Amino acid sequence: MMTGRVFSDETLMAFADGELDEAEAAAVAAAIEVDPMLAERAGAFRMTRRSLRAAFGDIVREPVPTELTAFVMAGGVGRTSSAARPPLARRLMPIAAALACFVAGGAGYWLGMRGAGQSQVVQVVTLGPLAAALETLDDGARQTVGTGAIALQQTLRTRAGICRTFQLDQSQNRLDGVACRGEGTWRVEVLAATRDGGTYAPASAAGPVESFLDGVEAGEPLPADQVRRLRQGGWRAD
Amino acid sequence: MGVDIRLQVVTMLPRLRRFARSLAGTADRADDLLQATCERALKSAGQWQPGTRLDSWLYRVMQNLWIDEMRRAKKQGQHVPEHDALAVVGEDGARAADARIAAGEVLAALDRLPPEQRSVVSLVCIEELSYREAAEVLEVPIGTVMSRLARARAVLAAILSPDGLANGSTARGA
Repeated sequence: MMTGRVFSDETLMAFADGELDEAEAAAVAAAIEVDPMLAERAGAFRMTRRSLRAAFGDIVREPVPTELTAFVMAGGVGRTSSAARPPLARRLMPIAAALACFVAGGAGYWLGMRGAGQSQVVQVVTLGPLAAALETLDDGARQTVGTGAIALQQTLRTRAGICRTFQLDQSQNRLDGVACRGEGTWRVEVLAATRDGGTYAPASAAGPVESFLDGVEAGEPLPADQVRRLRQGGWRAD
Repeated sequence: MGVDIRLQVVTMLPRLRRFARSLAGTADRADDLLQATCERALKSAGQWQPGTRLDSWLYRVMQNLWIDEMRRAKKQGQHVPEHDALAVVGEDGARAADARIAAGEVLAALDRLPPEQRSVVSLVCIEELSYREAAEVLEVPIGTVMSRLARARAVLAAILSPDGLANGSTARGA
């Protein structure tokens, strides 16, 4: 079989991957028309791509382990060194199911968003059930969300403004969080798996929540009447 | 690192997790690699330049961690565990006529590639990056991406197709 040009594997691969410019692609396509051997070589490149995609494509639809999401949201706080850790998957088991379905609702949005700019993020936090609870509940109050619950714990004055600690519950899974009020909205600053659940050993004395509150020089938790006044005043610091 | 960047990282976790799985093979090792990547990225967020793609940077952080781990394991003579699905391969020699290739076979084939080829195959064929984007992640010239990718896929095709590549000029092996 005679062809006008010799095509390298790399060219055939780039053709199969759609990486050639129009003129080159047309030249390869024309050569393939009349040369079954060439068609077979290009086909092998298409086949490898298809096979890899078929084998791995669905992994993005698996839920990401809850603890990992929480770990990122906590800014990577409160971990033992990797050498000392048991495999992540084992530690995740008790908590893994929760976050996406209910925790904060907002987390579900976060997972679904791409390239979130700050204003979108603020909106999400503003709209989620967690933000609603932060806005409207007093300390000690608890609100059911789906099959889980959000419990407000303490409200404190800090360098970062007014901050509230909370716990997100679903069956035996718990996340601790801190949200701070700024520019008229709540920002979640810390979200981490609760340490006292007995499912894994604490890495250090201070958890992510305590570390964060220390860092922003939080004062004593505010008494209930002050929290109520703040809530009624729309959470303005003064 | 601000909360907004953390949220962006969270949105990218599913894709990073897939990349980790294609590199590390087993789910346990992949999630450990993913966590190590997040840890490193959060700690050195200052190295990411705003205006450049965050996902490319995260792929790079992961790829570098994994290559380091491979080198360390090799130096210590450790056995690197293979893909979870490897055990499945070879149990059934029969292949459907339309040759839809079992996932386990693909995973086992990937295990035969040297690390540098494996990451480029994964970035282009699974993560669907362009050659240029893959070159940026791996910090190599685009020509290097193409030559590694073509070699890797020739090996994969030879393993995965019943009669291998008909063309004799194709380089096999690393």
